[in-house]
Amino acid sequence: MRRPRVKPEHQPYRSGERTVRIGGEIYGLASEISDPYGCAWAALELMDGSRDRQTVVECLRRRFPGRDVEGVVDTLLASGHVEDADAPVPEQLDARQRARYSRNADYFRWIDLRPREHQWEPQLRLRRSRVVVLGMGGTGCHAAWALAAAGVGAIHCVDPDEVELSNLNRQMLFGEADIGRAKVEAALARMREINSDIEITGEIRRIGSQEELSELIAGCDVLALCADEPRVQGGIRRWANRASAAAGIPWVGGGYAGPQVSVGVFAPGYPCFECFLAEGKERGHVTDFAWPGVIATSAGISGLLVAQGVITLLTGVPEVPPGYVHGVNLVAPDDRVYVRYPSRGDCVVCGRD
Amino acid sequence: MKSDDIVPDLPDEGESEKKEQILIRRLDKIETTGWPASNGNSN
Ligand SMILES: [Zn+2]
Repeated sequence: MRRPRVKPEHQPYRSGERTVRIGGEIYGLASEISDPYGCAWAALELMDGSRDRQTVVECLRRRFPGRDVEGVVDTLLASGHVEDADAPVPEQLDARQRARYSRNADYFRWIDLRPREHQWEPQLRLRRSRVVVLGMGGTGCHAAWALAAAGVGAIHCVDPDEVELSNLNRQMLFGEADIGRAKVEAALARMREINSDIEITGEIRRIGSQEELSELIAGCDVLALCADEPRVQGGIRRWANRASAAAGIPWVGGGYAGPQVSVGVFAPGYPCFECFLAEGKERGHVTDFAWPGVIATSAGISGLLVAQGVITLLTGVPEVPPGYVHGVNLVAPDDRVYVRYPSRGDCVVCGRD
Repeated sequence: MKSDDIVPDLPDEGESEKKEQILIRRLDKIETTGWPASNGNSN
């Protein structure tokens, strides 16, 4: 790191005589630094992007003779709260892209707790990625839109249906003029209006088997499963679980049971969807309530959480291990949906027995 | 949720040495607030 600078979003403040808080007030980001003789606070003040690491160390040596000031500096540099004010801007992104994704870059800098060469690393990963979005309903429309807006380099959309009037309460890529048009065609047109710097493709197609799904996802980085049909033979989610495991591809699946929105994030090497199902069944949970009621907000949250899961898998930011289901319950704000079951040893997909 | 120490205590040093080390730990859930109170001041 050439010229360390405390990230502006992580501005430290003193929380006690010998403690410093940094990273704001957000759980998962904020930290407390124990600072027994004031050196951490002094180091953070010096890390304003105007001096290099060595100069910071020398200033601290003069103020705190005999102390391990280098240890303090290196601990802070590794903490994720500090960035390099001299970080290079990557050549792969031209001025237009840097403008388009400037808020992404600020966001990633904020939430990324790994020291990076520059704040554009997660954006470059998105740009190099290819995602298949299967299903262009309420969940799929929002997911595909968010992935396109965020700058995923290649997005492939798949759906067999045409736009109907009853879709317009939630399927935000479509308008009245699209009624009767293939969803994929309308979605592609809208997404290309939003972001012409990425590759957006699609096919009007119904996936009828695990083999077809395997073929569809070959070569992609993440599958966003936004369809819940067919439900026969264990359903499309089981196909997704198996096809993804066989290909070593992570996947995210989302949906809703009325007001309860939940999204699963799965990847090879972690507890899989079938472990989640089996464990839930053993605990007496009924997992499938397929009724048509849905509103713009429930569909939107579902699709956006799917996109969030995809972005997390693609960028590694935040560092959350896959193998969990999370969501919200819109009739009970105090009910945070979150389940992480262990992998079952006898699982045919992820088990090791 | 257990807090997660990013920098563990250094081994084999005297207690006074240890007290000198700075330690960074992520805040627990109960130590943080949930109110963002901003739309980022960005257009
Ligand atoms: Zn499993």
